[in-house]
Amino acid sequence: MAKSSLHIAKHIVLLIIIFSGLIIPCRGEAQTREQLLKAGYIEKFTHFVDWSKNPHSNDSLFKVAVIGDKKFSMALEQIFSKTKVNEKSVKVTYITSVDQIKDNLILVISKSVSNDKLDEILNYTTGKTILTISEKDGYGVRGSIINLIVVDEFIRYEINRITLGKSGLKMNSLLIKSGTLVGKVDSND
Amino acid sequence: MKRLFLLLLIGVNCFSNVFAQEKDTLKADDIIKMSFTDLMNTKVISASKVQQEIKDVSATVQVITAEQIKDRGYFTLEEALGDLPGFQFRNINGFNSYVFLRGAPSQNNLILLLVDGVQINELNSGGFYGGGQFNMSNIERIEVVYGPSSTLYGTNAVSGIINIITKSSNWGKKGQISMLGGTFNTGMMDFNLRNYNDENEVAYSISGMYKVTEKADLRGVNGDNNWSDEMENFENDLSLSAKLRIKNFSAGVVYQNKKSSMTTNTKSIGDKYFDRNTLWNISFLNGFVKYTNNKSKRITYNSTLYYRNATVNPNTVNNIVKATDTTSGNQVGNYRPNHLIGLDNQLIYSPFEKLMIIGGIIGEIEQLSDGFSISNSNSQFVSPPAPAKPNMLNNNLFSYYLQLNYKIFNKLSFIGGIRHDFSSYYGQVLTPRAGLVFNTDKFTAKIMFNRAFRAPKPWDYEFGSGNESLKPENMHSYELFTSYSIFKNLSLGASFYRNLINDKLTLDISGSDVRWVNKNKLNTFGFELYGNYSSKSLSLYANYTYTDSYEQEGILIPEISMHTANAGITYSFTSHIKANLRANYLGGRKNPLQIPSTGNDKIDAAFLLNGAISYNDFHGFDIQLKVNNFFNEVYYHPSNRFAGRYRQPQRTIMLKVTYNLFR
Repeated sequence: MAKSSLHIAKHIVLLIIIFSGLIIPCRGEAQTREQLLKAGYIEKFTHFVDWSKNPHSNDSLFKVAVIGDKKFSMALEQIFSKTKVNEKSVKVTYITSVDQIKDNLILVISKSVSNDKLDEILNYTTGKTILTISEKDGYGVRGSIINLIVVDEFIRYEINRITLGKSGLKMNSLLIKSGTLVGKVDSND
Repeated sequence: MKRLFLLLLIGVNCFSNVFAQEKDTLKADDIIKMSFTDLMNTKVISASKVQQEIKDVSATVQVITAEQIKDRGYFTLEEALGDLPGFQFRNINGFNSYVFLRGAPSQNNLILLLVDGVQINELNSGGFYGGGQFNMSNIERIEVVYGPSSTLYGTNAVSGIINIITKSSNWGKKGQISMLGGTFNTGMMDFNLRNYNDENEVAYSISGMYKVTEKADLRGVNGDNNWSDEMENFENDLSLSAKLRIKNFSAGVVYQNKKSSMTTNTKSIGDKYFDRNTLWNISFLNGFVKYTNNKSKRITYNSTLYYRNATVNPNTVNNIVKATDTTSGNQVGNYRPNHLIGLDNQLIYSPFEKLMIIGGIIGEIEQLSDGFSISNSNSQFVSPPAPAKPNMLNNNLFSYYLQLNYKIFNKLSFIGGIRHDFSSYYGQVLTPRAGLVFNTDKFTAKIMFNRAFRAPKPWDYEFGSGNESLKPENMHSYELFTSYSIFKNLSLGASFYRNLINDKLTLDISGSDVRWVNKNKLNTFGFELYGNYSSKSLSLYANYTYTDSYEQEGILIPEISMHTANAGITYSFTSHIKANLRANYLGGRKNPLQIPSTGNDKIDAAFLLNGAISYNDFHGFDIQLKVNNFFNEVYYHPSNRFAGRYRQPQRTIMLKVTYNLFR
């Protein structure tokens, strides 16, 4: 009895392997733990910023755009599908060009975005009430308002006080105190 | 069997073109609940022996979450485990119930039960106690590690490990109070409170629970005529726990008390025993103080001092012998104290990114009763006096272990380890393990070889006529685990294993001479298949288990069914209303002895349907109606005590109301 059971089991195992082999070689689309944690940070940031000066602050939806890595937008969708900002549902959109930024209040710039592309984006957003959030070393100094970085396996963030000032957005002092300020103030600005 | 593993290896190799990404047990829900400080204290990469991601652990692991416990209304630990693959039960509906994992029947001494990482198996027998003494409302998650883990945990970690993680105080000020009422005179109250202070790095939690139930109607014909129409069967459970964390120090204490009748331990109809007024009174006290230092990026040091106590209290009335025309009967009292103190020093060291070394040294001193201390009243109607303290046996244990995880390639890791145990009773035991873990974003494969052992307890050497040459039972295990995420929310998995337990501790009876000897083997081949799907409003699970346990070819091990299956669905109708329906199929199995009421030794297959409907967050209240055994199926579990079987609970209905504090 035990032998025949083993025989049946072998066939079942073989079928599972064949079945798995047919469907496994597909590229994955899950976001990483790091991206999910960064999405958590971005959700927390929304509560420490005064959005009233943004012309789209009274829209029915709170809009967030992601440029660069699509998986980052999935992480944000997971977080924002379960929570609201100022009692409003959040719409997360993945965009590929600057002219799609439009009525978004937050623009997330993933680390896959090149320096040149970043400059193009910042040329468009600087001076507007759009909160730019990047995630690559150096992008904070380059002009992104908030830059999420990994330090000793923990996520930390930089705030560029120059571009923050230009944006007209008001940030809670607690948020500013917990981050690292970057950007010189003694230049032509 | 070799061909089978070769095929599986080929299958694994075919998947090497899968792209790597990191996936995690950390969920969006967890992150939303975090404070800003929590987020800042959460590592991008989780590391350490106990906080490894499930996909990286070289074992099959299943997790039951707090949300599942709440949605499904699990009332006992066994209910929760019953929906997982691989588990079968011998629930005697009395002072204990027995959990079998992967085809090995036992007195719960082949599974380690941990609460927050501290073992709570009873000390004298090595078995844990099933039943209602666990505060299910205070559980964050239950992790089940399948297969042997003696390389890290030593004796008794043979079939698997069940680790109960209680609710954390890291989510800020939280609390709940619950009340429950139901059929079979079931009632329960529980509470939990937790809070933390960011500035001082202080966190605490306290919880309590009191539960009463009569479980099922086992009177007369309902209980297969094992007991009279007046039989008494109750269980009252108390659980109190507290945890405190101050900077790098943490401490916890769990007290549990189980009082139940002993009626179902023996038959009363056709036997000499009386089926009322008995009392099993056992208390568990487990505590720990832990120091953790993980300031260095590469080194984490943990030192844990722990205390365990599992005493059968001296007012226990084990059995009552009925008076007859010529005898006055008697009541038998029991007392069995024991305790253990231990120190576990552990170092986790990552000299470079690809290598993690876990090493530890453990010392334990335990004092155990040499047996039950017994007293007699010499009358059915008179309580027995408190028994005297029994002789205590000292067992000193020393162990060291070393495990290394080496990342050969980005997706492939080798895990190897060894543990060396020394006991003043059972001598030395060396336990090795080795495994390969292959991980991509969607596919995981683990190939494992493990050994494990269950050491005889000191009183086993002296049981009956005694046997000084007893040695530990040992298990060899080979396992392959695969899992695959087809879509974002759909995953499938399978485990295939072959276990062999040698030198089983077996009761040797020759005439009036009884003693334990090392005899017999237990072979098990089995596999578990499972699938899970979850979306925003719907979650589904299904699993099937095949278990072939035999002493030798053709001689099946009793009490183990070859086929079991479970499936369930949970649906959120609105953000407030949630319902679930769960089905359990338990295939037929063999009873150890012939059952008088059927004239054979067969326990029939059973199909059960359970479910719950909840209305959550009604001005802070959660209300749940739960029904177990919808169709009032008449079904039984086996008995290894008397020639008979154990009727399982009829349809059970419960209503629970919870108030959430500090919303």
